Amino acid sequence: MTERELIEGCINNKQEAQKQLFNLYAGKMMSVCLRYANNEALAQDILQEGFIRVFKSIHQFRHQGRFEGWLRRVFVTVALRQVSKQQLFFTDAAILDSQDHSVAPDVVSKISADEIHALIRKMPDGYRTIFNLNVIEGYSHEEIALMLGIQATTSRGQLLKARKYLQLMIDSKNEKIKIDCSNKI
Amino acid sequence: MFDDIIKNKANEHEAPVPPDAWDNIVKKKKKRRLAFWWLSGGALVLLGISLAGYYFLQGQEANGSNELVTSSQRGVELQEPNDAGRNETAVVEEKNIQPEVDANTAITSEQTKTANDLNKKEINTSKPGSTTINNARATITITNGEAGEENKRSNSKKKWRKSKGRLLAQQTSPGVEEMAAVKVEDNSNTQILEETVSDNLTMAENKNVIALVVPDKKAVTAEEEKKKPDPEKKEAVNQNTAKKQTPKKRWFIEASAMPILTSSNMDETIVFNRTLSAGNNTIVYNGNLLKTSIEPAVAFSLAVRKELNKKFSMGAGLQYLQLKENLSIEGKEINTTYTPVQRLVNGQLVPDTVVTVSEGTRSITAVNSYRQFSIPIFMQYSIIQKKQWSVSAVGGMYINISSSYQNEIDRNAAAPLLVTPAAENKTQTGIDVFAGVRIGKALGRKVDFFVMPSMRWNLTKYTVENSLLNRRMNQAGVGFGICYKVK
Repeated sequence: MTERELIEGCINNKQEAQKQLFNLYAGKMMSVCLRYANNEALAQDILQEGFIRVFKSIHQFRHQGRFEGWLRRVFVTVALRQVSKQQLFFTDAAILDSQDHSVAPDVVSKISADEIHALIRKMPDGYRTIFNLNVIEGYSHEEIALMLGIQATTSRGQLLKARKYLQLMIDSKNEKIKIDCSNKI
Repeated sequence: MFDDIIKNKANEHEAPVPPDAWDNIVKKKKKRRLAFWWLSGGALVLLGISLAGYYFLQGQEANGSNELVTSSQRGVELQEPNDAGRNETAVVEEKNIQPEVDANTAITSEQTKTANDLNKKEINTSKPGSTTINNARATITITNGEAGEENKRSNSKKKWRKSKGRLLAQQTSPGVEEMAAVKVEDNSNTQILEETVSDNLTMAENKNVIALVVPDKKAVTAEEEKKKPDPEKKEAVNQNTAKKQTPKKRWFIEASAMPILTSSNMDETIVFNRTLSAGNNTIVYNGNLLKTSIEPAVAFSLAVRKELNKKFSMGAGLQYLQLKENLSIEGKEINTTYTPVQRLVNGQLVPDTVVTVSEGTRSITAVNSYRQFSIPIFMQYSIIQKKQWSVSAVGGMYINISSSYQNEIDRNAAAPLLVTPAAENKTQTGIDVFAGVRIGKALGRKVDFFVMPSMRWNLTKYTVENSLLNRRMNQAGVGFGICYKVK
């Protein structure tokens, strides 16, 4: 069954098509949910709510872009709603090294998607949300400000700190790997 | 570069999905479908109860009316235009009429008298021999002829206004049945009759009795009604809604319009009696309140609501409502006139008296206009609260702080029956309770649209002085409104 047929099936409320769509995208969408939620239970809630929402409004998809992109947007919207029910605090996390860090691209490339995912999830809620929205989903600071009801400058500040935080975490992880390797030698 | 790599890797990532995720989605979908049907069912049941209550109350009122209609119809039957009945009436009523009647001057007449046709000063010249008497205040139409058919009666419409201030009446008179054989010797008799009636009406200013009589209670005369003091104003209940609230709680401003259907339930039968008597003419009218119906109306509300906690919120506001009530009174009117005449007996003129009795049914329709201000105080309990929509139960009370009549009576036309000018009557009218379901839909971040079917029960009888509106009135309605989040 092609993606188009799946979508048509979902529009016609066919459960078989809905289940296939779920099986096709559930993993990636669960990843999205976990990046926004600070616990697994909330992520599962977002996943379920997201798919219900997708099935309800799938007729609005006009086949003008990638379906996965549309799906992500729906999930991000649902995730933000769920997350915003809990208070989102934009605080400064203690960053040990105040100097600027730039991690070499090859170092980042070597890190697996799972590890990147795990590192992002370790970020404080505020950092993580802004980082997800701006870097991964591609929303501008103005859009983020509108979505979260904050100032665009707050979003920019949080993103800078989030990026630094992530780089530090990657750096420390890299150091760890180096130490492990030298110990083996 | 760093961002791109992170983005690509994050987008590639797939997390393990809990095995029961799909089953949970299916369950949730079913649950929501059920919830939707429950809510729809609940709303329908509520609407059904409201309508059933409304029609039940209407039905009760109609039952009461039927009895009155029956008795009234009996009255009509007595007046069927059959000759035998007519003769019997003549025998009974015209004791003083000499049996010998001059064939040239005797007139078998059907007389239609409307002594209080104050609004229309019309001249009825449609039939030969008809006479119309106008004075400054009233029109009396006497139609001589063979008329008497039911259809002719039903076509005769007359306006009638009565008030001890509050009743604007339009009479539809099916006509008055025949009454008596009248011996009239010459045209001057007609003149005498004119003068008599005219005098009567002038004198009626002093002698008329206008009363709304509740059985077993004494009739109230016009003057007594005038002197009756306003009912004591009840103390307004001071509801202080500005209690201490935690600063996080939100405030809402709500504006709504609610189309309503009102049912009225009178606990007493109203009998309407009026007697006009002067000199040798008496007009007696005995009517029953057959039917009242209150027109559909729209209530406008403005309220402020404050969240007390996640589930409860409390509000207060102001509601304006204008009701129009149609009344129908039907009864029997008897007009008795004693006319001195001279009769030729054996070549001599002998003084005699002709008694003319006119009897007929009179239907009166009237319109009462009623304005009311209330303070709604309510609690709202959130049953379902979603980002886009919400369902809440709402209940509370209306403190009716002011009610008034707008006087629609043409004062010039209503005199002389209208003794005193009817100023606006303001009265405090007690407390109602209400309950409803409110379904809200978010229109934006700060604005919600809501629909609220509700029922309002009148705990304290509406008591507006000198008004037929004194009764319980329950209201069923569906409110539509906008809610604005202030904080």
